[in-house]
Amino acid sequence: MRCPTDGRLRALLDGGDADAEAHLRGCERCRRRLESLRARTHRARVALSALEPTSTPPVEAALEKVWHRAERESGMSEFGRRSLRPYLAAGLVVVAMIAALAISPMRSAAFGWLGIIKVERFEAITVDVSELPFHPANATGERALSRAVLGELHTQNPDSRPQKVGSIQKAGSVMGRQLATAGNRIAGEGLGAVYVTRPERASYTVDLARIQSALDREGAKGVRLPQELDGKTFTLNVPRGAIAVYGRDGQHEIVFAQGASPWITIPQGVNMDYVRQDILQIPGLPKDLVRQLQEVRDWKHTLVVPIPRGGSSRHVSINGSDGLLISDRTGELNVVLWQRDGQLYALGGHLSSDQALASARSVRYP
Amino acid sequence: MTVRAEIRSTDGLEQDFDSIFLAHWGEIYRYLSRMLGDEAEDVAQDVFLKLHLHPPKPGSNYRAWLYTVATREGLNRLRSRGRQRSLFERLIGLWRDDADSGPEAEVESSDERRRVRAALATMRPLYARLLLLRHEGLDYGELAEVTGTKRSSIGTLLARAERQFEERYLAMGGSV
Repeated sequence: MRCPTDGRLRALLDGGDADAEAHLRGCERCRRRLESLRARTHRARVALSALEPTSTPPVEAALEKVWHRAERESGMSEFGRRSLRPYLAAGLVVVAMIAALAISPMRSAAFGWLGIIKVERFEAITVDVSELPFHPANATGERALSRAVLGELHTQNPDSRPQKVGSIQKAGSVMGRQLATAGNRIAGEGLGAVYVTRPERASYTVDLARIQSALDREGAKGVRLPQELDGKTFTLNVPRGAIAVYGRDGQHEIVFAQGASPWITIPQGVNMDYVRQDILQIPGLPKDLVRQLQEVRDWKHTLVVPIPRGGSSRHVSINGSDGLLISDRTGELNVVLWQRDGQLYALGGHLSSDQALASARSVRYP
Repeated sequence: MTVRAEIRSTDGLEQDFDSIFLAHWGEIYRYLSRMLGDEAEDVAQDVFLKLHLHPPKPGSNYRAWLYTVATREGLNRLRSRGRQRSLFERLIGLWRDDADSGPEAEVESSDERRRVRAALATMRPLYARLLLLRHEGLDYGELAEVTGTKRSSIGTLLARAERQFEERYLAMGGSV
């Protein structure tokens, strides 16, 4: 037999080839070729293993999501599946609380529901979105939530697009105060863009009949909300914020955001402690979610930050202030949230957790 | 039992689809994760959704079918990355479902991962696909089916793919 081709030798590494093997026994040169191919195959395998995902999404949750989508696309009832019913009964209100924190403009209402008066500290709760009847990041879910639970939300400033300004000094002028600036390490990346968000004032009047009707219509009969909420108006005020983006290559940007704490006006006659307890006692709520919310002690001054499973968080100290470090599941994207003298700060990007913390601690205050 | 029978049978419909899903979700996710990073879960869901809604012909090798669809969907997603989302949106994505968070490849900070992906991206696409699929454990018959090549050519193509990968990887600063 003539010397086999590289292709045949390569195939030999993955399975038997009696002729080629017989040839190798008598051919030193081909044995060396085979070993060379084997070593290269091994090196490629080692290199490719760097792309191994750090975790695989839980298969049961993934299956549930696919079923959910399949049922929607095939025209079945979105809520017809056995395993979603308990979660629907779980109460759209708490789902709204979580989703709304993440989704503007509904976060306004969520602050109201949570009864945050002023943010002084942070707590993270882990959210398994597969347990929620609506996908919080899904536009359809957002509309459904808005329609079913929140009703009309009246915002004073419907145009919430941030305004681009030329510099941090100009952002300070717009906001009427001097701003904190990033330390040398971040500033050295080069300032890419600065934005000022518009102040937002949103009011929300509870219409219990409407909410109850929506809950009943969606199959959540039996869920009853506190009567004292009916007709009450909550108002949320979100002051202007500034966002500075550092880095110019589009791949290694770092965002530094700051703004005064939002606050809400709770109407007279509403005891938010009781309301909160009532909401958390709605039958069927995911127990883990309720437990995490109940563990938030100073809940009127605590911003509850929902993070998906797979992400992680821990409390940190930023120059003596309480803060929260949040990492995505790869650990490659990190964000630090902290407050100082009534101002909230967020700094994050493609940084290691240590770099993010060091950067947050190097911020210079006016 | 054919795939269609398994998926479409009225007896235990969910169980049958579920069993296919449970058997192959992990490997399809890993394959897409190597290709796409954090968008993998989203695309993997698309693949299984297609299996549910438009199953392959009776008698098909559904593992190969899943990889074929995953490869096509993954490449489509790579092509659609022209409009990259801003970092700000990706940070916001932290608070959203992990299936919706920003594409990992775009936020890669791991040098090694970036080198490996960059090497794959500059390779002949067929070679890159073969390398990833073989790494996932597909046999030569499945590789031929998924990539539309002859089974007898797989050894040659793999040898070339590995050689090209090593050249590109070294050029990206990788070490062997």
